Amino acid sequence: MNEFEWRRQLRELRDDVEPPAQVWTAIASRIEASHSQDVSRSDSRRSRQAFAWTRPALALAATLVVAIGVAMMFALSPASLPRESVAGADVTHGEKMANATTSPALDERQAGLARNPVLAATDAELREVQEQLQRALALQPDSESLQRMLSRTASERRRLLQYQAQFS
Amino acid sequence: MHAAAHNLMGPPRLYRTAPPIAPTAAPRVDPDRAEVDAAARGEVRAFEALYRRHAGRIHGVLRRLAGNDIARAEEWTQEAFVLAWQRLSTFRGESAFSTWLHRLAVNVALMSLRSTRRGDAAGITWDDDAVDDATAVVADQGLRMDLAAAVARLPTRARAILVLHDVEGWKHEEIAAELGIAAGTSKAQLHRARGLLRGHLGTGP
Repeated sequence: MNEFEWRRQLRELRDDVEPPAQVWTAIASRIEASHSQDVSRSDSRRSRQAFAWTRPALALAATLVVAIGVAMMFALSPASLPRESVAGADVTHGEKMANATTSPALDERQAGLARNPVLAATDAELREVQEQLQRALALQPDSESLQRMLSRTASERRRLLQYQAQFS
Repeated sequence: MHAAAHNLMGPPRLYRTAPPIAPTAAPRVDPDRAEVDAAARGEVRAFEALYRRHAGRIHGVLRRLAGNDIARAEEWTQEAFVLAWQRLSTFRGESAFSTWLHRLAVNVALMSLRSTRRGDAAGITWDDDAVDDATAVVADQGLRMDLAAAVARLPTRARAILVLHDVEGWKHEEIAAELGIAAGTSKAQLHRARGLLRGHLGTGP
């Protein structure tokens, strides 16, 4: 057999061989299995992503609460308040706390707070934070951290009302 | 006579302008492109169509590389197509899909041969050098096997290189890159494989 004949015969070995039918069945089942795994993985990822927006919102809310608290501490410290207001606060604090529970008094203070050029912006931000937290709580009603932050924000607003009372 | 023939045939046609130029070849379009795109989007039916079109060729080369070990060739075919499905998103269309698939399948086979290092039909492993003994045994027995059977009897690495070069038409550089060896080594191995094959067939010097 010469070289040419040798090469030609080897090339003729290059024929197609159909695999048996069960090969495709096995391939299809493996593809299906991997596909369903991918689907379940993407489903769980999607459900995690549905609540992903609450994280930055909560972080923002927490930052705002802390920032507002610190700002209020500096802005309304006894040194920065008018002397007569501080003295008045010392005397009438108990009475005003008691009055805060009554609705007409609360409305009056809130109206006064909205008119106050110093405290109005802070109150608006606190109110916004409170609303965000309430929305988040509606989605995750069992979240203890959300409830803690909401009560903390509410207490900050109450403190703001007290300061408003001292100003008025 | 000559004049009559000339009249019947008419005057010789003379082109006053250049003869019409054949339209330039259109850019080659991969016939599998539509199915590949659909399969990459997750359509199993499109992938099945690709399988039906290419399974014969892929299984053929894998059978030759497996030395006619049918079970092993089926296992590789399955593995190659599952891998192709998983990697479809990485197929950029720089080569034809059939070429890409062929490479992937051969790679699956070579990886398996190298990693398992199990013996082939003749009990010879990938790195086995005791090929001259095998040749001697066959030659002494005076057996005359047909070419396909003789190829299947070759040691694993020699068979892989001979099948890829002499049957599938790969270049030494391509084989060397796939096997992680030098092109010179591939040439030497092919020379050796041909010698063994001639020995098996009893056509050697």
